[in-house]
Amino acid sequence: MLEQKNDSLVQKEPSQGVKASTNKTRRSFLKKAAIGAPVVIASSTKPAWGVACMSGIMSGNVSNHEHTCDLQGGLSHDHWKNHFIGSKDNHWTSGQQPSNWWTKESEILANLRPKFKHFYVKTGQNYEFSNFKNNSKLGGKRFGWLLQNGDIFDREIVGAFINASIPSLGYPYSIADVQEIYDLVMLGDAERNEVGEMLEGIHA
Amino acid sequence: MHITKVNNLRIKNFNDQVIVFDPNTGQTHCLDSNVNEILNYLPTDKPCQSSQLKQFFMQDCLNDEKAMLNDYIQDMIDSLLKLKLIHTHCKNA
Amino acid sequence: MPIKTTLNSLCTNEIYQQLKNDGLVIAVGPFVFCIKSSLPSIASNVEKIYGDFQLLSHDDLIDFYVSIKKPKGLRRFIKPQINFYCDDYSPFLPLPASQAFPLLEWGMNWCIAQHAHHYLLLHSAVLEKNGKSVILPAQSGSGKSTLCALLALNGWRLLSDEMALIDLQNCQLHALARPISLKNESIDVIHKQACETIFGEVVDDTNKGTISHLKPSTFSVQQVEKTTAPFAIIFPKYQAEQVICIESTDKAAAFMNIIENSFNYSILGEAGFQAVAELIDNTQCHTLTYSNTAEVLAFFEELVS
Repeated sequence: MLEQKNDSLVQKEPSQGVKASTNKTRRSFLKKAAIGAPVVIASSTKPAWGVACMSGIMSGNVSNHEHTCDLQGGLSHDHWKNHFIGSKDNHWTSGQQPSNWWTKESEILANLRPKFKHFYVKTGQNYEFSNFKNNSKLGGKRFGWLLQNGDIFDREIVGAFINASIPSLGYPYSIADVQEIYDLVMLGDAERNEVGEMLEGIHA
Repeated sequence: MHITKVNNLRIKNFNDQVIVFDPNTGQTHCLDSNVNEILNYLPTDKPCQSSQLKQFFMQDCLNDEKAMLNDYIQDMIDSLLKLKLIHTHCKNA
Repeated sequence: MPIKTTLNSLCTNEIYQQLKNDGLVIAVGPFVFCIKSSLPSIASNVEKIYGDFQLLSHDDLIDFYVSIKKPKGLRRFIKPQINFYCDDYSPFLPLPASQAFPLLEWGMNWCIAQHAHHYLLLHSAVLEKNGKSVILPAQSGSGKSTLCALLALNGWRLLSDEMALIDLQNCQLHALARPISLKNESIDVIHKQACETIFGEVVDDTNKGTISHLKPSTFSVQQVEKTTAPFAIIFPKYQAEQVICIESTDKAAAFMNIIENSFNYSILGEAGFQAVAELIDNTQCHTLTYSNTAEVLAFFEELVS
């Protein structure tokens, strides 16, 4: 400690208190140096400035669904009007004539076996295999008729069924999804025109 | 090496440890209480030579103690530099 | 003293209509929420769980306008989803419609955590008995909410099961007294308690499993405006078949643990640092490991006796 006295600087003796404190510090330094005590115990892991951490509040609030919004996909009812052919009794594979797997069995057995009806469509030059195992009817009316003559909901829901049944199209809804939409409208839980317009918006 | 302490550090002492809050970075650190002695010694304005700092804390020590303390104090200086609680300065000749 | 109107003064249809139309305005601790939703599950859960909360009007100053709504597209109909909105902003991804009430609860927590920076906010339960408040900071899955529910059912006043609100000016704890969120096995644990419990609907398949909300006691809700000084910080950890073990926590370690459990310490800067320093100075800090309900309740009774 320096103190100015009579124009000359005089070094003052450190007080007993300061000496004791310095000794204590030195002892602490020596002790911890000897045992290799860590200097840094912990540092905060939270980001600095401007971020409120939400950990713990949100229980992983992410959607379990594949989609968080409706996607564009599938072909429009206008397309299917000109490409939907109808249902056939035999199993079709893509691009081929119907394979006649009944021939290996007797005709009697073949007639007793339940017949799977798959509707098929033509895209370009190929016949597309559909996995929709049902009559191509909805509410007693054939798909073809609905595509030509139905209201917006009829046309678009048929388009949705066809889109959903052709895997190669990558339609965002499954056949079960489309069936659910249809059932909801039929039950009056969803408005017919509104759903028709939504589907129209999705179909290319 | 010439070093200074950063401005406006906030310090809370707890016996054997000290909590240091740096408002410049927003970070908070839990450090050994000896670090507080280093921080108390260092100025914020005029750079201090690290050798001068070491000499202050090593005065009246025996020679073998000095070697151990030198490493220990250097370790503290390195840690504080890494945490950006102190800065180095280039001193012009 | 003016008599407060509570939500349970409304009939079911009135609650549903208010939620569906202009919104239901309720006081939640120091905040006022306006809640809107046309979902029946929101109406039924709000009626069941928030019955004791003070009902306000649109003439009162509203802090948060929140709503739970179905999206506009086909997700309204198939695999139906819902969104949470605060004003017109949706901060989260949609959730299945079955999770509407949990989403509302999480959303209300979000509103407070994002905006209430006149408090130091800690991820912790807070309860009070005999004028002494205990803060229970803990990460999710540590058994904090189950312990909070057990204490709340055994005479403790619930301030919050999720968030401690510490006033930056005077270090007082403010209460919210909101429903306690319980998960998975803890729902059964609390159901089996020998006292009346009212739960909201049980919701499966959330990201944290099955969730249900326990109605806060009428006593806790009625005392919600009463602030209290923190007395102790207990870091709890449930560990199966563990004999109860209480250890004093080093104050510096408690300091660092508290800031790790804070939602907004990094925003508050020096004010946050000073608030935590004062909190640690004024409380005793312990770590508690337990498995037995009776033992842990006895510990807390002795702590505040």
